[in-house]
Amino acid sequence: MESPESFSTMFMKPIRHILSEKKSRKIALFLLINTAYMVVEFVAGFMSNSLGLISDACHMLFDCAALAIGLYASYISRLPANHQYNYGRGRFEVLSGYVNAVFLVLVGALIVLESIERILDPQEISTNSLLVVSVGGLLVNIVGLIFFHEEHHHAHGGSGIFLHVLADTMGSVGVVISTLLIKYKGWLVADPASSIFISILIIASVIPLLRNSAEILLQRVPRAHRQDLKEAMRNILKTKGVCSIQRLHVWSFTNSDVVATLHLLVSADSDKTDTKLQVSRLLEDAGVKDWTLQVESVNS
Amino acid sequence: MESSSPHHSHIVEVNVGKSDEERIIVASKVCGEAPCGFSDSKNASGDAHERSASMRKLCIAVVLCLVFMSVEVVGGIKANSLAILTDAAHLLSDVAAFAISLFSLWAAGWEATPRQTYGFFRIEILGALVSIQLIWLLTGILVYEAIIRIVTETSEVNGFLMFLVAAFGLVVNIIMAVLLGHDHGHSHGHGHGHGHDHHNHSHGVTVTTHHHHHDHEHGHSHGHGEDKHHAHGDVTEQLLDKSKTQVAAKEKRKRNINLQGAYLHVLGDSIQSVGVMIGGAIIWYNPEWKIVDLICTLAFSVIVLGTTINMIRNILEVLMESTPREIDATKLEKGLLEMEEVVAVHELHIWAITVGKVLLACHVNIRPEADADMVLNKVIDYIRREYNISHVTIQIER
Repeated sequence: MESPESFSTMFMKPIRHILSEKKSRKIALFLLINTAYMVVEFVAGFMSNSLGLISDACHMLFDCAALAIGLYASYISRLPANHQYNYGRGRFEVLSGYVNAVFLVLVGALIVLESIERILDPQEISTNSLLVVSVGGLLVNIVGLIFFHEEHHHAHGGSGIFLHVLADTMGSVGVVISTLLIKYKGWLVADPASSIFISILIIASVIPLLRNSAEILLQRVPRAHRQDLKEAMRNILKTKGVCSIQRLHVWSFTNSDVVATLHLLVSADSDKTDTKLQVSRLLEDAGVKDWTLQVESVNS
Repeated sequence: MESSSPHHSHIVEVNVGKSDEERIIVASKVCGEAPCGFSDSKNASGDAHERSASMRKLCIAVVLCLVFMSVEVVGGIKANSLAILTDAAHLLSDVAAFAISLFSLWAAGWEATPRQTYGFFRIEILGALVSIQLIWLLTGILVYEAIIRIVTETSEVNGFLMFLVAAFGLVVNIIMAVLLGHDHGHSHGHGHGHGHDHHNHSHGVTVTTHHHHHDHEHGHSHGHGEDKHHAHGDVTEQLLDKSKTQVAAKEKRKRNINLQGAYLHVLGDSIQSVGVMIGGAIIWYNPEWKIVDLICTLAFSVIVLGTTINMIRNILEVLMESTPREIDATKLEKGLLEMEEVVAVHELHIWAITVGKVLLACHVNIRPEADADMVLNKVIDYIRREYNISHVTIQIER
């Protein structure tokens, strides 16, 4: 591992992969922008002792982590299956979406709690640096929105990142508005109120992603294929020779790959190869990509 | 135990005249209720027993947490101290973490449904993941607060109060760590119980599957049935020796993952408390050295994150559907290829629905002249005997 050759391949391979694809190239570029902005914020924050800058930089760090995980997911999910990961590593994308969603919900809940505390005990905040920071953050996030809004429509994998960026953008807009309100109207409540409003929006927008990824991780029968599968099972039972279906398990490995395992009881006198072929075709029509049929014969 | 399984297969067969819809539901239910039952590492009743023990512990922890929290809230209001109130809010996060673990434990025992064909075991994994994320988030917030304490020069940090609150938190967390963590003495008794039950159970399953075969097969298949019976006699005897050592070892390694998560949370909290205590004491001694506070917090945060790594790896392994560490897929494939009728093995998938509950699916190519049923039984037997995986689906191809 220590030899320079393997060292360079270890780094160059992912990088080459990331650069070779449009989607991951976008994520990488946005990650760079975010990191640069974060460093600037940290440095400026410590130089000017500004709390607003530092807290925003911490937020940016969190965003960068999410982006890095997304980038890693897009790389690793393309790697072929091996003996340890015998379905491949596509699950990582679902998993990173789930982790991202859970974090967003947890952070949203924390902000709501914090904001309630602030409504009860309004705090004086300096508005000058806050306005600069939030406008800067807004610009960065708008770039991100432009980057990722295409993915949101067709691919599910990118939607975790898109939602995260969208949540940040809403957060920046909220901060800008509340800062202006505090500055010109003196409404100190505007800040926690907008925080609560935005947190609830974020949580609401993340819930579909959370539910979708949790269902995949829980090995639930995929919602989109449920009707097709019911139909397929009905047809399988009608197939000549099939007595019953047992231990039927259908689940999706990633958003698109559906896996099925089932035990077929067939009458001993029927042609098993033919039955298997027919059942396989029915499963394939129902959208199943990877199936295993255990055929057992019964005398009936 | 699961003696009802032959009835189930009967129901499936008898119901042929009924509507298709009903048959599908019955068919898919068979797995959830009976034969497969994930008997490979422990049985259902042992599982439930362990689960209820873990739940009782967590319940006590939640009650303790709530008691301490109310003490802190009352004390904080009386002393007019925000620090103490903030610590009370932190205890609320403990309660939340325990509640997540409790819910996951409870939900993991639910029966399988037609939509959730594997049951709800995975919920405990997802719950454990959420509670680990909560640990990370809280650690991050603590580091953030330490940074803020350095940056803000206006508010004087009260080292003594910091020390006091942290010491109180430490005591609370140590009490809970002892409560949640002490089951090394227990695990011995458990191991034995499990070994025994498990043995009975696997026997039960084999008998029922055979009934099934017996009911519908005769002539040459009957002979196979006999064969299998004998084979199983051996298997169970082997398991007797194996199960005691193996299962006990497994038990120790795989304490319930939710209890472990809660324990880690408490452990992390106590580590953090020590860090804050040291920081507080130093600031109390010399208010100029505020940077020590940050260094302490950072160092102890790294330790806390370190404690979660092992568990995160287990969780990731399960959620990525990877082969469990204790099973060598290459060796298993080789073992299958050594059978004379087997030509090739492909699409070998070994994965776990939750830690310790392993499933296997694979396609086996056999010689054209071989008897498919016999090879199927042989392969299933081999996998159950050598790797203790009973939930298998094997597609025989020529």
